[in-house]
Amino acid sequence: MYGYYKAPLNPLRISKDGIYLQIKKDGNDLHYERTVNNNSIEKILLTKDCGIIINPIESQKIRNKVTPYLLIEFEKSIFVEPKDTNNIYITFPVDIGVFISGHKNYDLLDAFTLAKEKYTLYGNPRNGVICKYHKSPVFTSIPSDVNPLINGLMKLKLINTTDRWIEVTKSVFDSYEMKVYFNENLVSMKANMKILTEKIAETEFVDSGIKKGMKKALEMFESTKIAVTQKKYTMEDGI
Amino acid sequence: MNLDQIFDIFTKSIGIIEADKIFPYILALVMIIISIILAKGFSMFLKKSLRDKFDKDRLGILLKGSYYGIIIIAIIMVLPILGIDTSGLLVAGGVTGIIIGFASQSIVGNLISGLFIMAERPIKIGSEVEIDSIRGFVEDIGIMSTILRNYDGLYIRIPNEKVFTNNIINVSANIARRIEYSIGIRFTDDADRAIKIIKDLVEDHPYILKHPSPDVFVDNFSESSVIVMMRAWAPVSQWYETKKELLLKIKLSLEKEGIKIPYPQRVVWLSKEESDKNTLN
Repeated sequence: MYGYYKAPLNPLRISKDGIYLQIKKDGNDLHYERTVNNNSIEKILLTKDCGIIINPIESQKIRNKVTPYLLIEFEKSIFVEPKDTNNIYITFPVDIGVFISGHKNYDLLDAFTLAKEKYTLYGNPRNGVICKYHKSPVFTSIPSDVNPLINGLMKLKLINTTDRWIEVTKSVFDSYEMKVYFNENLVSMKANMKILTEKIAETEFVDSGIKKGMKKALEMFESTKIAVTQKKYTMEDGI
Repeated sequence: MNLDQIFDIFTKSIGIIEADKIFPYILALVMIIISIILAKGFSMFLKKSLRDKFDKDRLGILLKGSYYGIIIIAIIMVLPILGIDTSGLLVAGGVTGIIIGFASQSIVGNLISGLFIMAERPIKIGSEVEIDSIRGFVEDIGIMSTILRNYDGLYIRIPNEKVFTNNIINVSANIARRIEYSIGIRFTDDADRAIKIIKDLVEDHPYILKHPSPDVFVDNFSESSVIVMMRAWAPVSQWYETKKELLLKIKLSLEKEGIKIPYPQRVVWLSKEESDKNTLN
């Protein structure tokens, strides 16, 4: 489903895993229609023809712009050896963006998700942050049964800089810095989690896919011209 | 080298001019220049320390006020050096000050309260607040007054003294807010089932936060119903919508499962003997 759909689009129909997407001619213009989980939206595209790019996008910008943060809670907690580095694989919820392209430019037309939406509080109500919540199993190698339309796979490098065994139960990320890579069968991200103390860690994304030949997804924050200054997120309220 | 020695050197160096007449003017000029430097330094210090606490416009007013205030005080101090008697000015100023002070007591109170509100920042523009039983959104925080827009869209001006001395509830200061429902079900209904239905709805709702964990429990037995309490947290930006939506969903789901919210009721027991006597009579 992911990819670039060149003009002429009349008509374009995509129906997969509960996603129904259609672009058809409406007079001189185009009519966009999308249905996911009984939620439908329609838009009029004032153009004779255009291209459409469907990509996985950075999480969080769907529905009311509640938060830019993503908290992934591990189904089983992980103990990391002192002064050691390990890789684990966890899932993350995939948001799908539909971009309209033409005249050497593109912009976000629509965004939706098939993943369950849930939010949580990281920290306390006064100084904490609201995060999108996702509970993930933990894998030590790449699993084969991840649906790229619902969940992506993140390779998380755990770097324990302390002299103690550390238990990690969750990870918090700032989605402005997400670097999503994909192919037809897998959506992926790479990130590092540097454990600084028993309760503090720093997370950051790595600009690379987890398999060779994966394509970098269009960055929504780039398309919406949001300046990104902060590169890391510091988890100060427990790991 | 004392002042007399400086004065002597100065007298000798300028010779023909009557130095004792010029010296006070030079001293006055030097004092004013020093006061300008001091005023500049003080306003720079204020700018640095209050930059994060005041918005740009108001900080500008404060800086100008302090800058010119220092210079005016310096000028008043310099006037006696130039032979101008300021005692009359001070008496007149004092009397005027007392009159103005009495007349403008509330104005000064509002002004000082305004400065404290800007420095303390209990509210921000856009905050949802309750001040002196008035609820609404903060539209502007001025030097003298704070402007609210209440839920009916009305413009409300509250003097800053009132804002400062009253309790302020800032609804949007924290990022999460609790939702609490007290739901009555019949004594004959299955309370466990009701709790499960409510818990499932809470779990399914995206904006009911996973942590802090929601809590659903039997809280009390009232005269007509078993009270099931639900406590959960939502992002403050979604609080009102979530509160409305979830309560309706709970009502519909409980009804669908045959669990009813009872009317107030009273059971009256009638004695059979009394009843028979009444019948015979």
